[in-house]
Amino acid sequence: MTTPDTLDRLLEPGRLLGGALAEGMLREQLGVTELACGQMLGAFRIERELGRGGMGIVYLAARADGAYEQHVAIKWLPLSRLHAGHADRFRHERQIHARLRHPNIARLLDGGHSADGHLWFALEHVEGLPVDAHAASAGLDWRARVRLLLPVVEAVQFAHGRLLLHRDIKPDNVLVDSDGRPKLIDFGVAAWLLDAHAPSACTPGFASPEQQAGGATEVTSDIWQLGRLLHHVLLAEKPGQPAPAYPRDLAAIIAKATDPLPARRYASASALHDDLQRVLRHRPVSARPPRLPHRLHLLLRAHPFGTVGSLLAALAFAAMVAGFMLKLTRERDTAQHAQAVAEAVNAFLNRDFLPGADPLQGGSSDLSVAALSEHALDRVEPRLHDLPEVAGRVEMSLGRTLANLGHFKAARRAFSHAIEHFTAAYGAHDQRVLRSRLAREQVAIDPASLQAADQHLRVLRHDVLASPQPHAELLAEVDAQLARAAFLRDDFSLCEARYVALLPRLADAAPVTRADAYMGLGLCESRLGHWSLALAHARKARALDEHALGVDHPLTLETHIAIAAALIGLGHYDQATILLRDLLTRLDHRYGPLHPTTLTVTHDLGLAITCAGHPDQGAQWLRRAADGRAQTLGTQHPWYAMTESVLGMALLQGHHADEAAHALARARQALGTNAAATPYIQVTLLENEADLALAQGRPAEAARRYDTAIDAATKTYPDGYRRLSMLRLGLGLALFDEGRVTAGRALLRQSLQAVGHRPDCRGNQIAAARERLR
Amino acid sequence: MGETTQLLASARNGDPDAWERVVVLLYDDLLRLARRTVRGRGACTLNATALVHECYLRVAGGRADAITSSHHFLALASRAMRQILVNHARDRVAAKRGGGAIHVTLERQQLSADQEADDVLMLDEALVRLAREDERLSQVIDCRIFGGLTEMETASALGIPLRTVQRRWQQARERLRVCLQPG
Repeated sequence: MTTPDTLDRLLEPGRLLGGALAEGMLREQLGVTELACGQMLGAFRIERELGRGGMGIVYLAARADGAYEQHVAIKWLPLSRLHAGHADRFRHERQIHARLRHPNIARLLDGGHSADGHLWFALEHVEGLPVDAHAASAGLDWRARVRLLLPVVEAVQFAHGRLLLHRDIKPDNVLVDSDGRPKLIDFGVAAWLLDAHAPSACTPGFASPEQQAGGATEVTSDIWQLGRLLHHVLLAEKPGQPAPAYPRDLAAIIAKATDPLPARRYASASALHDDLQRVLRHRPVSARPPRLPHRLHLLLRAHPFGTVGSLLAALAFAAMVAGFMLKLTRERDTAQHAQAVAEAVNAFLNRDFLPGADPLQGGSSDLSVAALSEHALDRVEPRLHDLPEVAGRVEMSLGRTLANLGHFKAARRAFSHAIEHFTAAYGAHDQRVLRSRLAREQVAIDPASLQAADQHLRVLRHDVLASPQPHAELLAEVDAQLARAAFLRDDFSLCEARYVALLPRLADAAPVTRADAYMGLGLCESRLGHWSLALAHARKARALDEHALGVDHPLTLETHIAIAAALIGLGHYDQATILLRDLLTRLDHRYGPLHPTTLTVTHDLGLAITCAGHPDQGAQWLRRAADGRAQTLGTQHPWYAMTESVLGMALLQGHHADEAAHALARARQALGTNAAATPYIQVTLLENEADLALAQGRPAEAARRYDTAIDAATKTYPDGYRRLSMLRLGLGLALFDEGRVTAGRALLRQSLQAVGHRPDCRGNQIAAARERLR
Repeated sequence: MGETTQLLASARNGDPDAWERVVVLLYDDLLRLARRTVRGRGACTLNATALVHECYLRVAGGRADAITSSHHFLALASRAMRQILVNHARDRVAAKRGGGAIHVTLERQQLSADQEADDVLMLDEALVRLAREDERLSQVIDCRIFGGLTEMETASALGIPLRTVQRRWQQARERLRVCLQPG
């Protein structure tokens, strides 16, 4: 039945796709059934075809209910598959759009979807030329062209204020009517189409990079399209009359609006509007502040969360919140509610958040994102208290931002508010409430909350298990936090046990979650003296994070802290120093010098350098860490005490006993009545105080302190722990100096044997012990 | 879109069910694509390749790792397009048989569509057999006939030199001729 002819025909390129089978299939699946003149669609009677586009046919129609004469444009589009639920959403979305009334926006009047799979929209009919053609044929100069577009930018801002995006702004969608007034058409049409379909392939050059990549469209996508529109209209020309030249400031505005990175574009249409007005008035524009943008850019990239360039970062944050709210309103079931949310969030962003960042509105550009976020946090309640679910989400966002910035106290406050709001909105057992409770525990680092953490986490764990849908992942996160809490309370054996129990349950968890557990385990093992294991686990954490996040990700960098801690324990001080120096440079660059993580690394670097035998140099880093911790955590914080204590050790090794005494006094003062709560720091401090007393010729006092330290340490550390041996060695020296030579010698011999020949941070004492035994 | 990339990966590894599901997922995109290819009118000036590329960007999103490249996606889309056309042909043939009655006033258009449906099903069967012998040959046919790709585009889609495309194209034709020999 097959002839060679058939095969040749079949295999002729283009033949099959152009053939009757393909054509029939397409007609069946996608074909636009045409509407006939006189046919009724809703309340409209079709009059004639206006045009055909890539997506469908546009008809001119008249309202047929006779009440009044009104012409509308009907967009008649194929929609091959309408998913369940879409129909309802379509109707709601249309209601919202129908309320959008602005002199420069053609109104969406009605719409629906027909039984045979067509979507239709009835829009206010605008008779006129596309804006680029109008500009060219009227021979407008650049000022007139900018003036022509200003109302369009304003209209887009108006819609954004109601949390509506256009998503398909282009010259063909801006028509200039007979009065010379530009009107934006198709608002809501593109939004719907682009949801259901691929990016508008029909408008090459007008789909933003993120739209082309299929990413979420945001306010900044419309900004991008406004920039393209502006550019296009400025370049429009008619034969024999070239387009007018325009100033460089205007080019800078276009470049900023169409930056490939959404975060670098204007954060709002009104910012773009302001700049356009400035360029008309010959004022410097914000897109091109004299000689600044490049530097600002670099700074912003260097300090994505820092204080420099915070204005732009804050605006990006605001854009993010706005985008997220936009999504939220779409999820909601009633248009009315969406409207209420839109207005409240808009008011919050425009009146409470942005003015703080906008120097033009009386804010200060020096204000840090943290300060802004904190300020905004206080405004959430008064502004959004009728919408607790929205308030909760905003507070969670603010809390995360603050936590990333290292402002744990404020973050904690944000999470506490979020818990209240989520509880009011969803009830106490909702996942969102449980998650915000966990978030609050994760940022708890002040001494009081560290003590209470275990209790809180146990209750939380119980509530997670009792919740309607106990979530295994959330439970694992709570357990990881329980292990971390044990670490922060210096209960390293418990910490180790908890991580070891948790790890098998994480076999299927995300690499980052597993890395986090391995890193925590490594840190605890280091404190317990299991340094080889600690090193292996810390390296495992680094490998997991590197693979999942890349070598430069902050979480990957943090695993280096655990690696360095193990290296210090193993006596590889030089290796640790190199690692920590590099880490410090990168963290300093990324977070700034006062971030808690940066300060931890500064402290560790000081310790490593001191142990490597350069106590003066080490003391410089430790002093820097102490100052930073005093400033950010306060002088009552145990971590500040720890740094002062280690600084005391470095100063003593550098033979600056008086200064060492001051540092240790500050540490003691900081630890105050909390000493028992932080045994690790207490032991370290006692040991350094004893060392000082010994060096200053007060062996009896030294012996007493060594005794107390040994007493505390035996409760915390396993037998045979190296630091216990070092404490006994110190006690031996003190006894010897006190004149109890026999007892001292015996203790020295015993502890020297236990300590072995590995390098030690207290190498000077080991040497002194050998001396005494000679 | 993670689902699609995952499916594409399994489809590439020879899971036939995955193909069906890829087809379902890409259906609308590919149909629109074909419509433009076939009719080439309206306001759109983009060619088929650019459209598939856009489709690829959307599907792959940030996860280009699942599909090696946009070129590779072209090859996958061609294969999916073949499936769509074959499914349609199958429905058409089934409807004709199930319908029983022969319409007297069959239009020319419909007649040739029915003929093409039979042809496509036959070609598909032959291609399945050919793929068992040498998958590389059937891939070239998929790209050129069902994806509407040029020789050059096929070369970059499959990551092989132009000469190899031409050689395989000839070989595939010869093998198909043998496969489809009457009797």
